[in-house]
Amino acid sequence: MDTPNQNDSYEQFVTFFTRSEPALRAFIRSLLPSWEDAVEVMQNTSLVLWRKFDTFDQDTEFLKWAFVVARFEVLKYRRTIARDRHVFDEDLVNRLAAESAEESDPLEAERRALQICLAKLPRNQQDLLKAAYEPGTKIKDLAHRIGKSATALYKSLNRSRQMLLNCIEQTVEKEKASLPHQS
Amino acid sequence: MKEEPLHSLIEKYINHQLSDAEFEQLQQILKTDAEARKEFRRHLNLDAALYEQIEGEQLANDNLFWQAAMQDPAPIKNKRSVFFQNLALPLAASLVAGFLVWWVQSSQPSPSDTITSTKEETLHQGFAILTRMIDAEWQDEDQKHREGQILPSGHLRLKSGLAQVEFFSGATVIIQGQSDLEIVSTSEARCLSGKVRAHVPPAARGFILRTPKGDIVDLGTDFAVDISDEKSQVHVFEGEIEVHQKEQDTQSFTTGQGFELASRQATTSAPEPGAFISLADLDDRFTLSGQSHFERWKKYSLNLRKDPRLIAYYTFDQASPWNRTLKNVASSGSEYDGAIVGARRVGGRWPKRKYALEFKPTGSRTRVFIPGEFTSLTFTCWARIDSLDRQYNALFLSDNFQTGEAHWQIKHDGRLMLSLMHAEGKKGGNHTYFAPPIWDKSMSGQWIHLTSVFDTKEQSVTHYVNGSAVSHEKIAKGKQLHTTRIGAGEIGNWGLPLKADDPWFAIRNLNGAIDEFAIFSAALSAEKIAELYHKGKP
Repeated sequence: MDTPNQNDSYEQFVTFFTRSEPALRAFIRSLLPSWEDAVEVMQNTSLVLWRKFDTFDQDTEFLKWAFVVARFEVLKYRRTIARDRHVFDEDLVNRLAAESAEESDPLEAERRALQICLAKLPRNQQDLLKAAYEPGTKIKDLAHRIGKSATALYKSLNRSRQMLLNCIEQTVEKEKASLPHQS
Repeated sequence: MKEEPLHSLIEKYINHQLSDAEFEQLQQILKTDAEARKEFRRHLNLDAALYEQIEGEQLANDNLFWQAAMQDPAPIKNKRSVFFQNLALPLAASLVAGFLVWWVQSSQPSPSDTITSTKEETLHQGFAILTRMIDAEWQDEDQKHREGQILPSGHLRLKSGLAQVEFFSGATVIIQGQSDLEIVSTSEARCLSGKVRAHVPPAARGFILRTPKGDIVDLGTDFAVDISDEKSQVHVFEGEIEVHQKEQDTQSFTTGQGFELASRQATTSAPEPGAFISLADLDDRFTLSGQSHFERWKKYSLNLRKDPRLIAYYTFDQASPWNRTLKNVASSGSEYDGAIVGARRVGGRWPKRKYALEFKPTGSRTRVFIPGEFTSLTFTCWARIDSLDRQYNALFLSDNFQTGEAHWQIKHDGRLMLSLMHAEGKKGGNHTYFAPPIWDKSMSGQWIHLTSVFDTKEQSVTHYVNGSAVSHEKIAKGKQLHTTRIGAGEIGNWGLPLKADDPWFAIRNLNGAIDEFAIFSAALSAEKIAELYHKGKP
C-alpha cells in the first residue's frame, strides 16, 4: 500500500517543516491579532503545505514557499474575521509578509538563546510568563488569581519580554562572535 | 521620544490592550516606517518563541506517545509542537494503518484549490478602481498607487492633489486634498476626514458614505462632504440623499441643500465656488495635467533622438491615419522605418495627442529590418498589456533567432524575459534571462515602461520596470555572447518562421499596445532608464 516514495516524501516533509516551523509560526503570528487566530491559520497552512508538497520545487527554499502559502492563508482568514477586531489591512499584511520573507531566517539561534535567557530571569518572572503563555490563559483571570491588577500584570510581562529581547540579542551576538569566521 | 510610543503600542497590540485610535496609529506607523516594522517583527518573534517554548514544555509528556507513533522520530526529536502534532498524529496513524494512499488521494487539491488560484483570487479581490490621479500625493509615501489599480477594502490617504475612484457598483468618488477615505465594499465607503464628492448614477443607488457623525445613503445623486474635527458638512448638488444617525430619525435632503451633520439644519446656501471639484472640472484638470506631461515627454523625446547610441527609435507620434509606416526618428533614418501589418492605431499614453499600435488581431505586427553588428543592446518601450493570452507574448523578436539575436517577450505568468542565442543549432544554444513576474491582471490596461539591457562588457542581463531594476543576472561562462545582431524582426509578434525545418509556428501577438519603442547599441545606465520612465510617464 505505502509506496516507498510516499514515505520518503513524508519524511522529507517532516524534516523541512520541522526546521521551518518556528519561523513560520512567528510569521503568521505577526500578521494576525491574536494567538487563537494564528493557531488556526497555522493549522490550515500546515495542511495546505502537506497537500501541495508534491508541487514544491526542491531547488527553492522550503521556508520561502511556506511563507507564500501562509500569506494566502492569512489573507483568506483575514476576510472572515470581524471588522471591529484589530486586524491590519491587506496592504500592511502584504508588506509585513514580504519583508519577513526577505529576512527569512529559521530563528534557530534565537530559539536557543531564549532557553538560556528564560533560565536567567528571576524565578517569579519565569513563572508569570509561563502562566501567561499557557494556552487558554486569560490575563484578567491570571491577574485575579495572583492578586494583581491586569494593568500591573501587563506591565510586568512587558518588562520581562524587554529583558528577554535584550538578553537574546546579546546571546546571539556572542554566539556569532565566538564562531570561527565563515564566509 | 519616537521610540517610546511605538514600543508601547506594540506591547499593547500583543496584550490586546489597544484602543481603536491607538490601533490606527500603530497601523499608520507600520505602514510608513520600515524601521518600525522591523521592531514590530522583533517583538512578535519573541512572542511566538515564548508561546512555542512554554506550550512545548507542557506537551512534553504527550510527545512520548506521538514519537512512538512515528516510524522515524529522529528529525523531530526536539520538537514539541501542537500544530505539527495535530497534523502529524493523523498522518502517523494512517501510515501505521496503511491508509496513507487513501489519505493522500482524498486530500489531493481540487483544481480550484491550487495556490495559483488562491493567488488570483487575491489579485482580483477588490471593490473599486483608482481611475485617475492629478498631482496626487499620498500620506503613506511608500504606498504606490497607480491609475487603474484595483482597490480592496482599506484606506486611501491622500495628502494633496486629486484622485478619482470608481466603485464596481457604479458610484464615482472624487477625493480632494488631504483626506482619508476607507473603501468598505463595492457600494460603501467611509470618509474619516477631508473632502469627498460622490456621483451616484441611478444604477448605483443606495451607495453609502459613512462619516464619523452619521451615514449618508445616496438615492441617485451628486453630493459632497467636508469632514474635519470641527465640522461635518454635506452639500447636495443634485438629487436626494438620506441621513442616518444614531438615535435619530432618518432625514432627507435634496438638490441645493447644504447642512452640518451635527445640527441637521438645512440651508440653501451654495457651497463656496470651487470648494468641491466636479467631474467636469476634473476632466478639464486631467486634460491640462496630461497636456503638461505630454509636453514634457515631447521635449525630452526630441532631444533623445539625437542620442548617438540609438539604433532605432519609434515615437508613434507621426499623425497620418492611413500611413502604414512606423517612422524611425533616430539619425539612422527612414531605412529603419517599420512596416505596420494588421496592427491598429489606437490612443497612446495621451490618447488625444499620440497613438499606439495595438496588436490584437492574431497576425498583426510591425516589421523592421536593422542590419549590422552590435555589442551591448538595450530594448525599451511603453506597453499596455490587456492580458497575457499566449505562452509567449512578443515585445520584439528577431525572425530567425540566429547567433547574436535576441527575443524580448513576456511569458504568460508575467515574467519579462530576454532570450539570447549564443550558439545557433546547438542544444542549449540559447538561454533565457527572466525577471520575476512584473505583470498581473490587476495591471491590465495600464501603461508600463519596460526595459531590458544586455551588457556584453559585463556579460549580464538586467530587466527594468517603470524605471527600476527588477532583476540582474550574470551570464554563465559557456553562454556568453559578444557580437549581437537584430536583422529582420518584429515588434508585437513573431510569425515569420523562415526555416523550413523549424517546427515552431507560434502565435505570439501581444494582446495590448505599444507606444514608443527604442533599441540602443549600448547598455544604458540605471539612471538613464529611470529618466526615460520619468520623462515619458503619462
